[in-house]
Amino acid sequence: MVNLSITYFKIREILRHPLSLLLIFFVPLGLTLIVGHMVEKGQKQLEIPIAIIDEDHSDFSRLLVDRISSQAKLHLYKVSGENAERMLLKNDVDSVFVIKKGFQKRLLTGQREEIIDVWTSPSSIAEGIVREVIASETARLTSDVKAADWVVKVFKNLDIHIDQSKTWNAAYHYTDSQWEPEPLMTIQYDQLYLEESGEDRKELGDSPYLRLWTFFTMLSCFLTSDWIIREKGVLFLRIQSTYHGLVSYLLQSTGALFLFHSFQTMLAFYIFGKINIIQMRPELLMLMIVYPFVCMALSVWSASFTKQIGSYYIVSFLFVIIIGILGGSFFPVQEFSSTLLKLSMFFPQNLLLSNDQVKIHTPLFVSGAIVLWMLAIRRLREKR
Amino acid sequence: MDACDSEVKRKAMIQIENVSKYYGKKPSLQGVTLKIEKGEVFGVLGPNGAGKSTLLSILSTISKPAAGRVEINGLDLKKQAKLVREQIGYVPQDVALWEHLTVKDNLIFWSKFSKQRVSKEELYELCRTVRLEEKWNEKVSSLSGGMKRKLNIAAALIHNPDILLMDEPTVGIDIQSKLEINQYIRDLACHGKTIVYSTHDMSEILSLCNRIGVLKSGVLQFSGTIAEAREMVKRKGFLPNSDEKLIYFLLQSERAEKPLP
Ligand SMILES: Nc1ncnc2c1ncn2[C@@H]1O[C@H](COP(=O)(O)OP(=O)(O)OP(=O)(O)O)[C@@H](O)[C@H]1O
Ligand SMILES: [Mg+2]
Repeated sequence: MVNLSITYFKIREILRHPLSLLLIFFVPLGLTLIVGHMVEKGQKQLEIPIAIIDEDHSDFSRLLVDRISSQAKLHLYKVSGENAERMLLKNDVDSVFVIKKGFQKRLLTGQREEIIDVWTSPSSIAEGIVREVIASETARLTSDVKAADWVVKVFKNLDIHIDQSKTWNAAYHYTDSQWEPEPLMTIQYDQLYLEESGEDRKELGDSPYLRLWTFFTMLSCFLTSDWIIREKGVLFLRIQSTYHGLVSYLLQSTGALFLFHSFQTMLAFYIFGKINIIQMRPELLMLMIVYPFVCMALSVWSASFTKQIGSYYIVSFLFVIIIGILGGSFFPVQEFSSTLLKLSMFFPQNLLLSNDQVKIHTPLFVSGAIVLWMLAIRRLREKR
Repeated sequence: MDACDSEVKRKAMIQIENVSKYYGKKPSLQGVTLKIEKGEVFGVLGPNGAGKSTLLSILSTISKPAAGRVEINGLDLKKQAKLVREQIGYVPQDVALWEHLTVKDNLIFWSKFSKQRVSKEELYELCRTVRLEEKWNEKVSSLSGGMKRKLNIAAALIHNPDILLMDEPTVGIDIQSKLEINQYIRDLACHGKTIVYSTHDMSEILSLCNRIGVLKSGVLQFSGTIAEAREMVKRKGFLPNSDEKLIYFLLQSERAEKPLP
């Protein structure tokens, strides 16, 4: 039977040292949640502020205002004329849109010109986007109205008696429902985007959390491998003269650490699942556990090279950041160029941040990690 | 010191044949041949850089010799390293302990590396032998240099090994503790343990070691008892009036023809 007493001892040691628990649990979990929350808040601040003046106060104008305010990238202020002007001058808003009086009436009569005014300042950037949104929404309204008018006219021409207003409303709502859940154009854009980048956006839900988790978990793996540097001198030598020996010590110690990292991963999986960042699929959990395994192999391997503890911290920090950037821990680099996309496949983040290649790559990553472990162990037990 | 000699059966525990070791091209051991018997305290002597630590690290299976053969208690060092490790306790020249752990945890941790289970009581007893029982629950980082050395020795004794390989173990340890540790080692030898002991300490050489080996630039210049050493020196025409001068002469063998101060 395998003697695991070194593992037990190491586990007890980790449990008894608050710093190691902090590094294993707080760094990947706590920091991911905190920084992720800040990034999300920051993304909200990236919304473009615009002001809208509703002079028409009709059903259609209110509908348009609602629809614009539900746009993710826009923050809408509903204001009066003077306020809007002041806000624009103070650059509090990017641009001002005025829904002119008679908006609904003109739409109902099929007129689509000069129903909305735009006030811009030299620093305005959002005008184009908002124009598009408004154009699409007015197109929606006018086509709904046209379709409803046409249906009523058809019945009239056929001399079929109907309740005109009921029929008109039914036709209007039916046509309108054709635009749900999204305007058709948007769906096409998204599909193109998916095909090109090969990224499953639904999986990540555009959330920064899983990305950040890959970064902080790797950092945690590196920081918790520092014992190798501290012990690799005379302690490792002495351990080589013992019955169980250095290989057993290395395997059991890193094994104990991996246990903790896996536990952290399961916790992260549970928490992220509960707050709807990820879908709680068992395959994803498996990939998430493979990730710290690969990270630990990387960290143990680089620790086997480094002599000084200070340089280990500096080097591993830089290393983790560079791998983080190229692997996509901070933003989807894959979308920038095909070279970066190809490059990112070789970083362990790829296990989680990409979906298509997973099937081919997981065994590759695992075997790569095992090779790194073996190389590291060989280096560390090198006979003097 | 030879009081227990007769009780112990003479048996070669360590046999070193023509062992060489190089760091780069520079030899740190050259053709060393040596036999160390059971129940013996064998002193390894030599100036700095002579190859004492190299020899001990080869015996402790840490280093591989470039050439030659070593047998420990009938086991081939190269092929049966794991079995050899069961039987040896190695005290490295540098302190090898986990600084952030307590004395107790260090002993417990080291005990996990041996084959047999060692109880906490036994470890505490060992701690008393090296007079560290008061520091039982203190972190190694808070111990003095000498105390660390004592614990360094204790860690090698945990699994009660038949062969002790000690590389300058008592450097920096106070006289009283050193004498006690020496006495303890002598007792171990009396009980049939074999001890290879590297030292620069004249009194340890004379009071502790049954036999000595003198290394110089990786070459074994002499091995034998103090009496044999005296004979050899005499043959060279030098008559030391004290054991100290004899040792001095041995270590200076290169300049052996020069008169001593
Ligand atoms: N790791 C190493 N790399 C290169 N050379 C080494 C190494 N270890 C020892 N040496 C060289 O081997 C020779 C013997 O060294 P060793 O440590 O065995 O000497 P020693 O007799 O123990 O000396 P001291 O009394 O100072 O402890 C020295 O010349 C030393 O420079
Ligand atoms: Mg030495």
